[in-house]
Amino acid sequence: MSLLVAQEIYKSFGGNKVLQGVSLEVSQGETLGIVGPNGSGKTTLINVLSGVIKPDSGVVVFGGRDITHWRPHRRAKLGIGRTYQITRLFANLTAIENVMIPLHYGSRQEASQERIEEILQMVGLSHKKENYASDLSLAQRKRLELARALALNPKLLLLDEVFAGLNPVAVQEIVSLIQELKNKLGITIVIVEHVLKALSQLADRVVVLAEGRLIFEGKYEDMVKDKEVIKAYLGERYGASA
Amino acid sequence: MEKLSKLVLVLTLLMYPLPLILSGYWERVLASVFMLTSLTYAQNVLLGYTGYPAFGAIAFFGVGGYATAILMIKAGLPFGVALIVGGLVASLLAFAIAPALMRLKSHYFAITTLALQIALAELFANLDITGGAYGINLPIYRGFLGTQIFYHIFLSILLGSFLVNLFIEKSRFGYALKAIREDEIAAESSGVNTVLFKSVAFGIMAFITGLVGGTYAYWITYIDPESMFDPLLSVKMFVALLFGGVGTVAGPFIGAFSLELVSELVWSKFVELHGVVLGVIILLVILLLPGGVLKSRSG
Repeated sequence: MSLLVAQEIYKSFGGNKVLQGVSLEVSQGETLGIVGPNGSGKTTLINVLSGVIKPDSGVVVFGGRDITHWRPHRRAKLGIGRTYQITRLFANLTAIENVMIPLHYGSRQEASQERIEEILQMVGLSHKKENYASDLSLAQRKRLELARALALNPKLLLLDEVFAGLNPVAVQEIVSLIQELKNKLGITIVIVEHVLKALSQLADRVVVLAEGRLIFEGKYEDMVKDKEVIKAYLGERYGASA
Repeated sequence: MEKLSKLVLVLTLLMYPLPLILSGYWERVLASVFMLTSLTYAQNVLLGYTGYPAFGAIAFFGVGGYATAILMIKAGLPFGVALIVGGLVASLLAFAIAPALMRLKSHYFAITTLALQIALAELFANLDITGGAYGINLPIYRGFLGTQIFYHIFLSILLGSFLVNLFIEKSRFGYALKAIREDEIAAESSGVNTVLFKSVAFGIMAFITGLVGGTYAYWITYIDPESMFDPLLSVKMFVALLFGGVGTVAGPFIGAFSLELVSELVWSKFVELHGVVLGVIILLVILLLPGGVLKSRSG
């Protein structure tokens, strides 16, 4: 069964048509990768799914409910968690406080000390719990954003370039962490990523966006051989010779 | 921090019996110190905890003052009732305009609130019910408590606004405001209804500011648009807050007390030059203590 359905999403910023009729479905428990060149509309799509941006037209359905006009805080309460390409933490609050806020306001769970510690433990930040978010390294900030999303007790996680700017070791650590979340908690994941190696390990299925349209949908192995995709990523010449 | 909050509480409570030994002059000076402190605490709810600088917050001082005066004169309500209703009028106005106004951030928001203050001053100078540019005369308080009553009302508003700040610092409600201050989009994604919470914060600020305005109106017994929408009061409130420490519980108290007491001393010693001296003090604060005396994480 599809947990998330987006139908015919259109979004323009002024004359810039960012999304031009994108439709996709994500099944319960599935991990969907979204790939595409810079400016192809990946982040805008995530913003539409999480409610940060309203689409010009189109419908977003989550768990059978039309949530197209829902504000992000209501989607969060419904179980849609997300991270941001450039981390958006509560910089002058501690790691504990960063997790406590979504736990209390998003998941309506008791924001007990044990639960907070459990979540921080899960993302490997127990030793930094008293630190201010602004004092953490990039990799730690990405982990804390993940923890904040997990505090919502999410059914769906939207991950926008979690691996950007991380070194290969950190990438591998976070890949294992996400795999664990997927296997242990059964969370459905939509992941936007440029780091294809990481994506190949995580995604059950991949879609490719180019200039606001879906140009490919299928297995990761097929994507890297697809002529359309190579053309969009590397340009006409390489597309022709491939 | 913890200790300083306790100290503020103890000092505030100790000031209740002071009029027994104070001269009328010091009673008035302290009453105006309490007034500024309360206004600074009100602003701290918004700027310090929610991250929205309402530079024209004095708009609600004026609305509270005028509402209290009109309710007393035209509706014949006793002062206590008129004051509370006046505060509620100010906060309802704030709550109603907040969802639209608070789409703006930082200096855009600050300037728009200032525009609101100027617009209301013009409006009140031209309405019949507000007495136009002539303003309104209020009855003089002749109760058995004498002028001390204003000292005690201002002190009680100060105590109340301090407790509101303390509650915000410690509570879950406060964390919603802090999340908005830190990153509004992330706050939404964390399940915080940002429009609701920032409107409530704006309403709390306006309620306290309105109560101070209402008490001030009855205290000076004559109000006009110029005195009730005085931009200098906004400036003082912001300087006090920046000096004391934005987003701290003890900061507004420290800032407002030092600023108002120094300003009073300077004024009595240098009648001609007090504006210059105050300007120099403000500059020194900016140069030497950019985060305020109590630097908070958000400062």
